[in-house]
Amino acid sequence: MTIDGTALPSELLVIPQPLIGFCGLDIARQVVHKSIWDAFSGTLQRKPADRERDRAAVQYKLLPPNYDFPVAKPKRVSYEWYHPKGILKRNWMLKHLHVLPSVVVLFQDIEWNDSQWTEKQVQCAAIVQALKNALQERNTRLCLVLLQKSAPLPPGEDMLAAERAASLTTACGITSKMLFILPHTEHLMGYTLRLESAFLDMAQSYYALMSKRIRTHRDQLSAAHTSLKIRHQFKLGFVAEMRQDFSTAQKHYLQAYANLDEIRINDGNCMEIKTVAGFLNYKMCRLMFKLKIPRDSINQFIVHVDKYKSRVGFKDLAFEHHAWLSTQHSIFAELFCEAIKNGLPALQIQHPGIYYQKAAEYVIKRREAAKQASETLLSSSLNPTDASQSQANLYTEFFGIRAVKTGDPVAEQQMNMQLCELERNYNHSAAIIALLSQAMAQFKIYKCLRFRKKLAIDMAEEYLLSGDHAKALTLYSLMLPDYRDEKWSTIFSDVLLKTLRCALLSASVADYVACSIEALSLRHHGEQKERVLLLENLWQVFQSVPPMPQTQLTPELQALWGNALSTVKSPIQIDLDKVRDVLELCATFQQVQLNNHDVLQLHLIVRVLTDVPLRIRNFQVLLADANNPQNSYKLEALKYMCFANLLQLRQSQQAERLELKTYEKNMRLEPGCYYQLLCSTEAHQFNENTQLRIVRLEAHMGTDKIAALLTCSANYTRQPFRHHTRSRDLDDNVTINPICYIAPTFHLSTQTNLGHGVNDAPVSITASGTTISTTTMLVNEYYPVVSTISNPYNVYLQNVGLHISVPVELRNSVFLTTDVSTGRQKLHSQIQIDVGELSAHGSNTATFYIFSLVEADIKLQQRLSYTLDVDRSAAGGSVAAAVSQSTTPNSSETTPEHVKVIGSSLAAISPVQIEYLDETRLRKSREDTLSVKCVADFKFSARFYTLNRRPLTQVYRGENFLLRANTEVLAVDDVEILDSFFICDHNLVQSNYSFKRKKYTNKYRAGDQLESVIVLRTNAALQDWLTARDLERAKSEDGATNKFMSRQQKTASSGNIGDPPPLTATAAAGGFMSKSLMAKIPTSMTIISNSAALQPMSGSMQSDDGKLSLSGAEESAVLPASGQDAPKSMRIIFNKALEAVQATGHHRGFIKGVYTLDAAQSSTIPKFGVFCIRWRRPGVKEENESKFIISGLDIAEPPLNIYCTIEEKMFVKMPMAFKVVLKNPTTHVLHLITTLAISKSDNFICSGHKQLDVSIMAYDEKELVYNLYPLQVGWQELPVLTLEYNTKADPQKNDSQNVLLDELVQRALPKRVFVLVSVEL
Amino acid sequence: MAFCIAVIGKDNAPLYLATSDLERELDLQYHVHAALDVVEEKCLIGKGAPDSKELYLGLLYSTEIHKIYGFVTNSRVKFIVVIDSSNVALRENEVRAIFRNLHMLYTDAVCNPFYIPGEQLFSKKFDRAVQKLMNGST
Repeated sequence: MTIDGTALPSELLVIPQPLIGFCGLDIARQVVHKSIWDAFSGTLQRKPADRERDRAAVQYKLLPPNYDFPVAKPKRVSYEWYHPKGILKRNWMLKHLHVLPSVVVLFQDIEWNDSQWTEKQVQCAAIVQALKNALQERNTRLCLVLLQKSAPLPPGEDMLAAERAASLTTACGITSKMLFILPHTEHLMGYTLRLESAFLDMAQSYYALMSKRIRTHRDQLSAAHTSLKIRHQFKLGFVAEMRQDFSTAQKHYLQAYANLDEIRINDGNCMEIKTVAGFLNYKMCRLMFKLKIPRDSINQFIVHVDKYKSRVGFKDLAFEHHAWLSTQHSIFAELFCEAIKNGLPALQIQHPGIYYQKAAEYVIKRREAAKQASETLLSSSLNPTDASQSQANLYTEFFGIRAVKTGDPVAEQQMNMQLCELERNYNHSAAIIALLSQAMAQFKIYKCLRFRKKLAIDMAEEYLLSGDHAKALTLYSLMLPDYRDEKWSTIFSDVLLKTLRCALLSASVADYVACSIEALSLRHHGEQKERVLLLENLWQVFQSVPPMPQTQLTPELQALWGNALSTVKSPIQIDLDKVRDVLELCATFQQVQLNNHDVLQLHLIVRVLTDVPLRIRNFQVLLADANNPQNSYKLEALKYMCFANLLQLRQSQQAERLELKTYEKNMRLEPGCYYQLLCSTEAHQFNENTQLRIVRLEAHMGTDKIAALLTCSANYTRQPFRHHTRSRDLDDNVTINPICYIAPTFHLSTQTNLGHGVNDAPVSITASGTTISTTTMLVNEYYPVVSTISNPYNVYLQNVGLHISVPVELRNSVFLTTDVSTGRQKLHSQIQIDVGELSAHGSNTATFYIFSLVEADIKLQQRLSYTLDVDRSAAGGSVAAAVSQSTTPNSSETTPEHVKVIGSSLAAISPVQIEYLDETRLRKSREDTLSVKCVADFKFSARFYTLNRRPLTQVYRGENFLLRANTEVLAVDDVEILDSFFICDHNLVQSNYSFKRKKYTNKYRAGDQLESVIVLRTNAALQDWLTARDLERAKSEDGATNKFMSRQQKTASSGNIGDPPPLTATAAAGGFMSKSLMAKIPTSMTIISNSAALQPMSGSMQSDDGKLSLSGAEESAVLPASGQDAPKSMRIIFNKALEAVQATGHHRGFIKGVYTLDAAQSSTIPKFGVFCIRWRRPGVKEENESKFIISGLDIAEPPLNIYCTIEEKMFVKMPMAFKVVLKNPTTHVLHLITTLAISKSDNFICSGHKQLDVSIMAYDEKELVYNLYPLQVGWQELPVLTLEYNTKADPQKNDSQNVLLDELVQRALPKRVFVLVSVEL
Repeated sequence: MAFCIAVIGKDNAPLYLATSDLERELDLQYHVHAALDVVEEKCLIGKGAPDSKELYLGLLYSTEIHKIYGFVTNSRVKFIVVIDSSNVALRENEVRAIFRNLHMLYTDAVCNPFYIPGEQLFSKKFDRAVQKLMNGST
């Protein structure tokens, strides 16, 4: 049994419900009765909603056959002299809740047509009478339920039933309304519900009557009966609750609570008043929550607590008061929780947790009071044993009243002692912890995490007090990080020291060490002595000795420590990122970038932040590859320097070479000093081309057996605001390089010699390669490049190769080749030169040629690569002392974002690529560019002229015309021109204008000009041009089939002047060849030929290694229609100009193929040939050829061909022949009138037909011969020959055609001659 | 008049804390620390209505002994004042006045060029003025 103050009775806590008693049911033996009972009591299946409602409303009680109803007390006539001993009787609520039913229901098994009806009726009446007797003086309703098997007939039909019912009711002495029939058929539930509501009505009327009776009592009371008034009000409220009339109940309770104030409180009745007040308050609060006025409820509670807080009662029993307060709070908190469960929203500052917390606080106070009380009471002389004998006399039939005569100090004293004794057995800690945990749960719900932390601290404290150190330690160590993060140092110190104490008491080595180290920080305002003590204890633990002077530890604790120290897991990790202010560590690479063969140096700056010196066993730095963080390395600091302040440290960085001391194990680091520790290792142990990142800094502290590992991440962050103190902060004094790039070593160096020239000049060899240029590259030149690849290292390199490629934008205009011997000249876009193996300090050369068609800055991509055997394991083994591959990277590592960013950007810088072929072999390659400037060789232009030196716009078939080729040397260096010639198309016939062969002997320099004039003639119109294929066919076929054609050619060529032998060829469609060729070569063609196997291209027309090219030179942009610039030159590329054509004669042939960048334009224009200049540089054997394609003109069919022959030299007074051959190229007969008009001045004497009618047959020709006798020296006008059609003979011709004829004459006949002085003179 | 006056930085670390009763300082610190829960909650709600320039947060919570009032500046520096619950004479207006004065004192102290934002306030002048404020003799 509990003391009244500490708990509320259960009958108070339940919701009062009307009690209905069932008798006559034998549920143990009769199945039907059992099912009926189940249906009522709710264990049978019902709809949940119904059951909820019904159960809340009513309580059934199964009465045994001979149930003792409580006997009603005799009524008092007058209350005048009645003074009750207490306010509330202990049994009253119980009686009305569970003992005294409002309705008694008698169940009887009687059928209407029962054969033993009369006996049963008598029996039933007897039972009813017995019940009536038992319930004398009570208002309890009695009703009878007949259990019948058959369903009842509708009322009024069953006469027997009506008759027998009437007899039964009279026999039993009850009204017919009190008789119910319950057929136990299938609809049991429905009947049950109907019966239940009937019972409930009766119960309601019973309770209503009861309240009326209580009220009548009340009316008899005088003002002196305060306690009775309270009791009556309480009863009224309780009964109203039974009736489910909550607002009335609340009113009555409030009245009772108000009446309570009228009683004067003294020490004796204090407990009773508080108990009753607590009951009433509980009821009120609950009803107010139920009536949805939570604010009032909370206010009521606060007022209630305020009112009674100061009512302690007996001083010695203060614990009782605190227990009562605690109970009040916890009970209210529960009510609050329940209200929240029913939908009440709570606030952050008003929720059940607050009340739970208060309750816990009061329990703490209760414990203190109890302690105090037991000290004062039990120290007194009385014997405590006999006091504890009779616990029963602590309670009376009234709530809150003890069976002690008031005013008897001895008895009171004794009773108090008894209570104290009881209190001593109470487990306060358990209660406190339970309440606190409930409070914590609530605070968590209402987002009061800091409140909750405080509660957790309280709870830990309670655990510590109760001796459960391990739990206390767990809780404390959970709370530590939060307070640490929020930097509430006062609170944190408090918690930390308590944690340390818990760790000590629970012999938790790891926690003890961690807390000790953290407690060394100056942030915890202790004295230095304490820190020294801490440090001493810490070292004791490191040396496996329990801390504190041995005598201060209990033997059990010593044993615990001994056990813990032997099983401790070393090292104990401590995160210095969290535990600040003890040791400051930061590390920096000395260099941001390192070569593979350099020495990696790392500085670690250490500072002790507390005021006691620390011994650190060693320092280590953990490095990792930025790219693959699983590769991590550990470096140990071996040397150090000590500085008194940062200024010295700064200066030391500028000053070179300071003496380094060796770092010894467990060196003592003095507070305030800056220690610069040096780690170094060879960089080649790390992967090349990676970034090393400082991941973690570690400091070991302790011994071999037990040690603390202080780890610290390397993320050094600079403070946004800081003191500008040069001697205080690292920020301004040290540059922190958190990453270091290990640049790869490239074992090859190159030296490139461009152009023709001596390369014996000494060149300093660098890793990146040097380029020496002697001559400037010219267009159309095979420009030699000599790369000397040398290996200055002491390693053996394999598969050394040089790969050169032309950039995409220069493809098809710049080519590469390795072979310029006359037989095999292949041009490529990229070449690979395999140098093979290079032993240590060996070198080799690779030669290739660049050939360009355009003037440009050529940037060739050059890639040098080699493979190398690496033996990583051997290298790692030699320095194993300094570097150990740590296989398990720590999971706590965090990668700072900014490091990653730098990582990716740095990796892109390196030109060296490293590939791992397998475990032991790797390939390295480096990309370079080789830039060569290519300048123009010649400026070439060509024009066509008529024989009388007029610009030619149209060529007539069979007509001679001139090609004038002008070349200007543009080359910056001197060139020797060996030869220049024109290779004309097979369909053209060329003859030099002057039969002197041009001699090229001189060196030419820029600006020098050359000119050559060539006479050309075509014997076929453009559409009749032969192609190479036609020619081959013509050769193989029999000439007889082409009789007509060959005859025609013979006749045509018989009169030609200075012509090469006539051709036997058939006229065929011209331009076909070039057209088809255009279609077959894609403009974007790239030529990749590393091997000899080339893709076959368009049969015989395309040589496998040659390319013809037409560059978009300025001349070709001008259309022939413009007249003056009619002939066009195009540049072509062919290894040898003669190979570009399929030779059919001396300087004649078919152009094998033309490759041009602007194909569309050139397809319709015939090519008259290739102009070629062979040249070389002075002193160099290799010859180059510059080739230009000459675009042709349209070839028209003339009405007449005129050939004029005149002596090469004329002398005065020397007769000479002026021969004009007229050739009819048409199939018609030509009738012409020729007239020779001698000019008026007498410069010639002329003989011959002055006017002649000539008729020329088809394909025939006519010769007109005149003898001229020059009379004067110098330029003389020749007689003018005019031709016109003989319109009489050939009436089709008219004057307009005469104009054309005249034009032909103008073109063909010379106007003037230069007459020399006679030799004889 | 006030038990405790605290200035708390925007990351909830205390910048300054003065108590009238040194023996109960730890307990008061716990209270002030816990009050930050309510401050955070109130500031969170305040985010919904950015127009409200009201810096005074009012009563944060009260216990039987303490009433804890809060104030938050625009830079999220929080002022917390713990007042004796039993002092019924103290009106809300007076609490507001305390905060106003405190805000002024704080801005003055922070304006010191030698003060590093985010660090604890060690200014003697500020301390004196706050002690005065705490004793109610403004």
